[in-house]
Amino acid sequence: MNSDPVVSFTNVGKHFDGNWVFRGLSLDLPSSQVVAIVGESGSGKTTLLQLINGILRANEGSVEVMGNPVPESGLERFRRGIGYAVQGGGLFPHLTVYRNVTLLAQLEKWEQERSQQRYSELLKMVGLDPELRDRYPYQLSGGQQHRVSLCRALMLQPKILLLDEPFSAIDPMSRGEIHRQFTVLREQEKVSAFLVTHDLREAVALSHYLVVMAAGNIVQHGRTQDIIDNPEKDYVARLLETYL
Amino acid sequence: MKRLGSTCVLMLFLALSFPCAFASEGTEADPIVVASKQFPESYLLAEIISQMLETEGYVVERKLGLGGTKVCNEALRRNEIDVYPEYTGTIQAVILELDFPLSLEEINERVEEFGIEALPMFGFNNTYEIAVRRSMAEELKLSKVSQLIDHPELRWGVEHEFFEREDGWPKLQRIYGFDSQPEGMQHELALRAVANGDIDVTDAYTTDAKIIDYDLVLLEDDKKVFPIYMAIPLIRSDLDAPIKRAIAGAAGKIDATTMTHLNAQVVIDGRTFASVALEFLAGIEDDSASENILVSQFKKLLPNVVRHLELTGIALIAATLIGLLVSVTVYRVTWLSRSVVYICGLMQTIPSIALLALMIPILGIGMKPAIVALFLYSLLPIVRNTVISLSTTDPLLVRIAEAMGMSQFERLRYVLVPLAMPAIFAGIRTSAVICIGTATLAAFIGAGGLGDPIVTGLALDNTGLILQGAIPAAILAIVTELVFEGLERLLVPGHLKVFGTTRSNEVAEST
Repeated sequence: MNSDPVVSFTNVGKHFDGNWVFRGLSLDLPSSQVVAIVGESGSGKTTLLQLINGILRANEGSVEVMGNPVPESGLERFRRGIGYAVQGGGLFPHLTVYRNVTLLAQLEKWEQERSQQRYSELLKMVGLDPELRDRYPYQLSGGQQHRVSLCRALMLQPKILLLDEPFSAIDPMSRGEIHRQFTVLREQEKVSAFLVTHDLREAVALSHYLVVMAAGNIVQHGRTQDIIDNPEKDYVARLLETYL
Repeated sequence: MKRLGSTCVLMLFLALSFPCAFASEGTEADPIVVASKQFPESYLLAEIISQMLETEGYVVERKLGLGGTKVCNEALRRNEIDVYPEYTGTIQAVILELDFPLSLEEINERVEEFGIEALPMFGFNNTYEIAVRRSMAEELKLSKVSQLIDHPELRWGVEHEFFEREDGWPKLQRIYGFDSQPEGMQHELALRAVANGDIDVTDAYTTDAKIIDYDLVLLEDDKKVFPIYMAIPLIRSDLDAPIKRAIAGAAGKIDATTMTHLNAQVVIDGRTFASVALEFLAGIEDDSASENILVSQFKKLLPNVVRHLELTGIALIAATLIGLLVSVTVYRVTWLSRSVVYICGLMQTIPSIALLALMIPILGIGMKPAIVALFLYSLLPIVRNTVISLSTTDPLLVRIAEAMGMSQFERLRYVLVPLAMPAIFAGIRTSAVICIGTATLAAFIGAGGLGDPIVTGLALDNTGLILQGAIPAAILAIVTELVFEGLERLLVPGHLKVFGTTRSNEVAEST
């Protein structure tokens, strides 16, 4: 396992119009793993995630990604190295499946052939038929949309993948399958994934490393198995009891 | 990609045709530009002048029915026209703003500084008269204007210019002591309204053919309010001497009876200005010359449609390009986009005919001011729809595009604008239809198009002529709707359309 953290938060504070989501937050997140950030709504987990790709900027402290602070300029280049997928898929409704997945490759001026190949490879990995290429998002099921959204996030082979509740709108039946596909995909792509979810069961199923947040504080973080074995706080223990 | 390509080609083609359209306005042999005001006598005198010039071998460009006194005079001073028929009383009162009559020499001393000159008089005095229905005149035993003071119940309707000008209604009211409040009306409509009994009293001209046609009676101006209106050719003083001589050729040859007779041939018999003028100049009956005005105007249908499309096309393309550019620049700043939409809205509240008139001092007459006015008119629907739909794009999609690492331009180009396409299209479509309707008014400032037969038709009170402009304009509007529907089907993916339609409806309702 790689020992250098892929993302470090040092004394980070973030507020919206003077309402602090958190202050003095410090956290090192390991690379080449799935890190799940769990917590209830309003715990600050999505804010934490959006500080990583600079959609939000910290008001205090520093956020470093792969050893460098989140840049002030040239954010486009920086962000293309970080995949991003959200709840509901967030596919562009006016673009076909193929165009959605390969949009960034087109902007990066990839050869047609290379885009095609990567596209087919990704779709097969998530168990989709590449022949869906000319469909529009509205013609796909919810599960298919999420898988296409994952493929889009991974198109440029990013080192980091940010997932904001990506599977929460999927029915429980297909969720198990998509979880398995996600695990395979992540291992093949060797990407460090950060997963925000309110579903502890999902977090435990997918992650190697767990960050439990509540009301802007990190209650406990560490290897997922360690936390399950040794919940440090009552809050975590109760959470585990309720969900598992 | 194919979609973008075709859009680009279309825009490029249209952008290139832009300067050409203006260039084609500049003419090769520097013709003598003859204009007229918007009533039959002015058309006829201008046509007579034109034909005299053509007999002498000059090339003539006709801008008949150009506008009222101010438009024609402004155009003459700005060197956009070379000659138009005017009246001495109008020069004295409207142009020089003097309240005493002037001789031709006195007029020329005073207009010299504007680079214009009055040539010798045609030979008749066409002054204002006060006209009433014959039946009413007999019933009330009216024969003099001063008797009207005993009948305050009579309804007055006068031509707009008459109502405004110092030697018209204001002087009449002052000297005779009337306290009626006349309604401003188009001249031919006012005469007809008197005949129908919709109003009772109006202003008329001495040589007005419709007075006989409508069986109206002229009342004697017993307090001598109305000045003398001798018809003269008003020209640019820098014209060559032989041209001046050719124009002055009809001096003293047209008396009031002749003029009334000529007017009647056009207004009542429905003959063309050209044929009546030719017959007068040739002094003989000429069968080939007695062509009906409806037929002759109909032959101009195609050029009129082409000109109409040129006016609306150029204005619309400019409005689309500039509207989109402005919209994508300002949509993110709320106060800025609001001000832009507000300013565009302001533009639309200016009555179109007033906006066209406002253009004259800045851009003169013809196509250029008309296109600019139409352009300003078309901006609002495009800018409003674009700004609103860009700024209401699903924030999740905007955030994803940003998080994916797309630049500001890429986000617009690949996400925001395509998503706003249905609303943008709806805006352009609305603008196109407004433009086609408004362009019929462009004829009032000499821009031609389908408004031409309408203006002439209004001057002659000829419904057939008005319909020759109105019907093709309506058809053009419908065809435009259909063309845009087709374009939309071609350019916007099917499933976005429903979404787009509802959204543009929302846009329409929100205003």
